[in-house]
Amino acid sequence: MKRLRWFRTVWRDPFSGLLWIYGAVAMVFLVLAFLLADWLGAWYIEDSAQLALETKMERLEIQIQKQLEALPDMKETHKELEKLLRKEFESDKAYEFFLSKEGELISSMGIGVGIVPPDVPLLIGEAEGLEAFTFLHDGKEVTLSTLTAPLDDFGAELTVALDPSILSPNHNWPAIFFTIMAIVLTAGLALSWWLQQRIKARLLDINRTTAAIVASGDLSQRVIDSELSGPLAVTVDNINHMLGDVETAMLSTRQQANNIAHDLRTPLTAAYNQLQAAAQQHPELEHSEKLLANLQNTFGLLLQINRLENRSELSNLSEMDPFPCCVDAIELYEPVFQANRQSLKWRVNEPMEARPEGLAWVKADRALLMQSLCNLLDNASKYSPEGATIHLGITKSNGHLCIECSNPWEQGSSSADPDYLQEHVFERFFRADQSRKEDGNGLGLSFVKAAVNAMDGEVKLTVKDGFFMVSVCLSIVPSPSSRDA
Amino acid sequence: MKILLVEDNQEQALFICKGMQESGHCVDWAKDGREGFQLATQAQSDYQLIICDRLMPEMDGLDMLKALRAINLTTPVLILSALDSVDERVKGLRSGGDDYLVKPFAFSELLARAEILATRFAPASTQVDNTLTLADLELDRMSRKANRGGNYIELNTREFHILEYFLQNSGRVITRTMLLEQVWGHNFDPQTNVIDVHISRLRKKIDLPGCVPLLHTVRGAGYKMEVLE
Repeated sequence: MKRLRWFRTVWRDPFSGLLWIYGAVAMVFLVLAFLLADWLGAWYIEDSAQLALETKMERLEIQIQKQLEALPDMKETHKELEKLLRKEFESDKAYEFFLSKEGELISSMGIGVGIVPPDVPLLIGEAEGLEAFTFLHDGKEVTLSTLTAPLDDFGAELTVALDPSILSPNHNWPAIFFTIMAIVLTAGLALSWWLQQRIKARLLDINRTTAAIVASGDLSQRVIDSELSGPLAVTVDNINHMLGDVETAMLSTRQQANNIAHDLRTPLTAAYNQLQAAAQQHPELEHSEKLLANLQNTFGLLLQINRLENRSELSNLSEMDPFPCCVDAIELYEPVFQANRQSLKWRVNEPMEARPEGLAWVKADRALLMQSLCNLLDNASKYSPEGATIHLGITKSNGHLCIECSNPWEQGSSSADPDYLQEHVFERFFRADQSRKEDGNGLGLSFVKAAVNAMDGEVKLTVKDGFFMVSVCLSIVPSPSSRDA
Repeated sequence: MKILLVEDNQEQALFICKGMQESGHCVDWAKDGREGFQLATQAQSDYQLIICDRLMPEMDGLDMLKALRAINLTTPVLILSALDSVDERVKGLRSGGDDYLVKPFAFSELLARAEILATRFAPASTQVDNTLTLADLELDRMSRKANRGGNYIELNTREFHILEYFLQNSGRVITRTMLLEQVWGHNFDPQTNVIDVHISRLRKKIDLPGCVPLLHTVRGAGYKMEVLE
């Protein structure tokens, strides 16, 4: 199954798949070059030797025929024939000649002269084809390729022999072919690998850039298109062009949002100011003034959430100690808890003045974190009964530092069950039945979620064991003291 | 106080002019940045405060502000803007603005900020008074101790800063957002009664039964510390 998956992966990847197939073909040729080159070379050499022997035999037959016409008596003895063969041997020492009669060697000319071959083939009628035999020469075994033909006029057989090794150094064409092919394929494989690396690098650039854009929301980034041509360059150009268009559209949307904000806020200010002035003369307008003030607040908060969600308000992220923020938020809201006859417990077992030992730093925006903590504490106080204890604590979880705010929660006080709350509580204008009794616009937790997401963090809600707990989890960064260490 | 208002929206400008005049201030109105720059740089101009809108035709509020600061005009500038993001606020203050008020705002907020800003930049005596007093209330800034009619008042750090800010600006309206900015250093509106709770706690310590009340609520605006006649 694993192999099948591997093949499928290779096949579906056009770049790797092509490279693997090319590599496999190159390997087959390399194996052939090593395994079959010798055998094919030997076959080729023998074929060449046979052709050379046949040519030599024909040439000899013609010369013998001519000699017979000039000296008809030469049939009687083998002297003239031997003389002719010697002359031929002197002119081309690559060939050797053996004369035999009824299986007995009469004479020989060549490197084998004086050395009796172990076996002389029987010469019968027509040329029998190529035979080979081995004999010793200077202490080495030499295998000759031979061709035997009957000399009817002399009642003997002529054997022409050739040492095929003299052909091999210069004429091993199959081996040369396979070697060249293997070299070409290997070079091709290396080239393809290099090309694939370049293509992959460009694709990785594209992936990296798009991932960075998704993570940071910074549309000003572009894919690097240096030293590229062809379809991939066109793809990169198109992506960059598209990013440019999206960036322009986003900037235009932001500008429009600013214009809308400006166009609505100025008349809203005028209306609010006039209503405020009128309310001073006519107290019955105080309620309308309050309503308009709430409307303004809701409008402002909605715009801020929107800006945080579409990252048009880029938070000023820095590495910071979250502890002072927690202390400030607690200090700001402590009188509120006291006024509501509630108590706030700091879950880290240290007095508030002391910073917990080893507390990590986080990547966050101080103003957004402070505003989020204030929202959480305000909610906790607002939706807890008199006498309730609200807990604020800090825990570490999966590379995140989580600031947890929990308050007592009774299922009977709300028609929403915990699962429903977890799914919807961060939506804009969401208010469980319990919250309807209190003032509020249902945007507090939406803001917390938008703010924490803008800080690359995560908000979690846990409703269990009679507690409603919101955790603001932010990425941990090394604190200056740990860096110094 | 002589104020230059640079605002392109006529309705808004007329309302601010009327409100400021009713509060005893003299206001000149410029319809855009160019006119505002001309008025602010005239030889005889002696404005104690410039209130300018951020987005305007012809010459933007920030461009005007940069031009004014470039010629070393030090008149305090309060920027009014519909752009409320942190970036825009920082941009406004870095361009030379001294305060930044986001629309929509209550007129009382604008008035309170304008009066305090003009006072902050007014030529002051070089002598720094370490003891702030109002009627029989005294606050020693060195020892951080307060007393009323000789009776020691125990204050925590935050209460000390709130009282110090009120006494520094006694007789002037202080809004909730101004308190949050000046005492806590936060630039957001918590949209809750959290400041009221702190003031209530402070009031209980200062305005004891039988004493003349000093810390007053100004309806629709904020608080004021003064001795009412």
